Amino acid sequence: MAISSESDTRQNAESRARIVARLRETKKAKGKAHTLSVLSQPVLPKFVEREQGKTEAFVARAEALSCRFLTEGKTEKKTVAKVIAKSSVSKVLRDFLATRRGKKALPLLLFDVLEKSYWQRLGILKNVEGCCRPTEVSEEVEGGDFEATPFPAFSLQRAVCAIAETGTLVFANRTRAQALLTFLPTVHIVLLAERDIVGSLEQAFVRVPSSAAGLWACHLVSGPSRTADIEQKLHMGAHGPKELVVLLHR
Amino acid sequence: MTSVSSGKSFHDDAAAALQNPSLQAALDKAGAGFLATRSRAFASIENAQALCEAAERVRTRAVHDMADLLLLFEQRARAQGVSVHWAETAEQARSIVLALCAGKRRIVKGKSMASEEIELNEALLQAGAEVVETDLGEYIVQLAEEIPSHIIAPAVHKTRAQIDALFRHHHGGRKTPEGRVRSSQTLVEEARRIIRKKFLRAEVGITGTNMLIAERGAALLLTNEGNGDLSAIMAERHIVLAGIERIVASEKDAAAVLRVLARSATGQSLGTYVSLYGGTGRGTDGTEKPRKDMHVVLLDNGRSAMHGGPWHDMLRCIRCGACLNHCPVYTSVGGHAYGWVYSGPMGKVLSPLLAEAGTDARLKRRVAALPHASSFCGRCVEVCPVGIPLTSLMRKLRNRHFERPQGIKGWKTRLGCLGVRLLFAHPRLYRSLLALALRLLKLAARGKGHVGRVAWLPGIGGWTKTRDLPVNRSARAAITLLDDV
Repeated sequence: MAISSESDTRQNAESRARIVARLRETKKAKGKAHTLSVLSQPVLPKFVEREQGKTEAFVARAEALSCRFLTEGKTEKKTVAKVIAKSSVSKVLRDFLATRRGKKALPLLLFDVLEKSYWQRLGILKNVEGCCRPTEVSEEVEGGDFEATPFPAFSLQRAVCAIAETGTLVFANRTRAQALLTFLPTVHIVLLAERDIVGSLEQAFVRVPSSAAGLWACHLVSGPSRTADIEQKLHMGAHGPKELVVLLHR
Repeated sequence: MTSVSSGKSFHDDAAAALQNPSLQAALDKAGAGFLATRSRAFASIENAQALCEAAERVRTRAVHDMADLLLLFEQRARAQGVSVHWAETAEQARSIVLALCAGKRRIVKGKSMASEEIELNEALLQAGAEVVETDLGEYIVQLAEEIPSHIIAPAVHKTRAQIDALFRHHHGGRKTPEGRVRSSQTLVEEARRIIRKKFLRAEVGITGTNMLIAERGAALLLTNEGNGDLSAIMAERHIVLAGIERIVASEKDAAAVLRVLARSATGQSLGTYVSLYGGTGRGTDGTEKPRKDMHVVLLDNGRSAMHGGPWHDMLRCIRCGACLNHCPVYTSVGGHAYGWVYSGPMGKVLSPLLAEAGTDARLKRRVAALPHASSFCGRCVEVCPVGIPLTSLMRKLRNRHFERPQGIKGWKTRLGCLGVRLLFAHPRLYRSLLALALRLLKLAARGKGHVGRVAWLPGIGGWTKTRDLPVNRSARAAITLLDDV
């Protein structure tokens, strides 16, 4: 299959011209492209318009999707207890990881090299030593690097915002390595600030940076990976994370 | 072509499907679940109707402005380092993808109906590549060398025992004792382990897309398993196959469609993963640096010919599968009887139209009969979130089918049509013959073992083979009524 790039381009231009011509020829009313949204005002579900407490709504929906919120106490039912102080994030995370310490080698905790200084400032990297092996991933990382450990245990990532309407966490990944954090590990641990919870899908998209501002890919994540392809029975951890763990802080 | 249909026509395959006990068991199990989850998802919103109308407006406008939006998409995507390829036919799309995969051997795929439509897997396999479908349902179907029977749940027709046997055959390893079927949890784990290795070593990832967002120059991908994303991220090269009608103007518009898409498909308020691909990205040093190459193949294959004509409304389709789940024909015979990738009511309209753009004469003949396989009960129209008048499109297709010379064939059909014309033109004759027929039916319903039901009638054996014709009170009442006239 050898197509010279020049003839390829010419064929591409010809196909484009013919397809566009067919679409234009039949278009009933000719006009400019509506690059702006069709809907001047988004039509939201009634419950979103009514909702006062975004935090409660987000936590309830995310939990219904099998997200787990880490708290300082043992088991907390009240939403307010699920919002922890930023200063205790490090300790709460360490306590969680301690319960998951493997018997053999220490499990991997992946984090993005660009965020290293942030996690250091929070005191996390030092604090979790002994429970896991913090490992940075960078843009140079290839799929092959994980062949020895195809199922890294943990990853740590910051969400750009969260959506109360659907219980969704939003990640704006600037590199491929960051995207790996969202999909590769068995347990995906997410840091989210309470003030970053927005009401609707539309509000979340506004917060996603443009390509010009450095975005590579944006991911809206609602609960852990799941499948119901075998006899419609639901299972977590189809290909992506089996668990989605949230550190929600003030 | 890819086909599991053994018979020559929908008629033959549907009849075989009705006699297939494992398929019937699988369909029974799946059917009710889909209906319940969807109706729960919509019942929990007071203004569900308004949300559907918003999505319909978005799709109507996007289809109307398709040419301009596609050009805007191309311009933005190119500026972000994404290559955009235009393919007029299935063959052209195949050769574009083959050229992009030249010299690469390990290919992983996310779910893409467009790739099934152009029969991409065969072409790649022939070129010597290893192609692995990574959506669990698609993976199962691929191992079984079949085609998906449902656009949302491709392996809905397979029972756990069948899947267990398939995995045992293809994955090898330790044998479980015969007669014991492993749990679905174990099967999911095993597939996860095996497919993860494929992800890590993949050279090319091919996915479909749910929407192309013109303003952002990005492809939106919705999955529950995360397999589409791993396909997009892990390989150095990401190829997106997109029907040209997948275009929408903006993220705001995409949000309106997303609100009804997952609710209609699986009853979720949003799919587990909704991703946008197409950005340039930054390197570790903070400078602009595209880390891998991405290609979008825009597939026409008959779609532009539908634009502006009698089938224009079909281009609005968002591929949610609600019409399949609610169709009495689909839920009885499953997807394979339809003979091609698109099944159910949307397939009855789309398949004949898309096949026309192709060169496969046998396929054309086969799918031309699909619009006839409907009782016009109208549930598909009721549940369609973007208001596609499926039954009226099917009716138009039927008319067109009969207008063509190949339409009415065979002396039996001709005679039948003639008879009906005669009867409908003479009301008296119609009434007296109907009364006679009903009396005969009453007699036929006296047989042993089927009192009140007719088990066999001359001429409609195909119908009575799988069910009895009830002759109830209303039939007797009709006789009395007719006698009075």
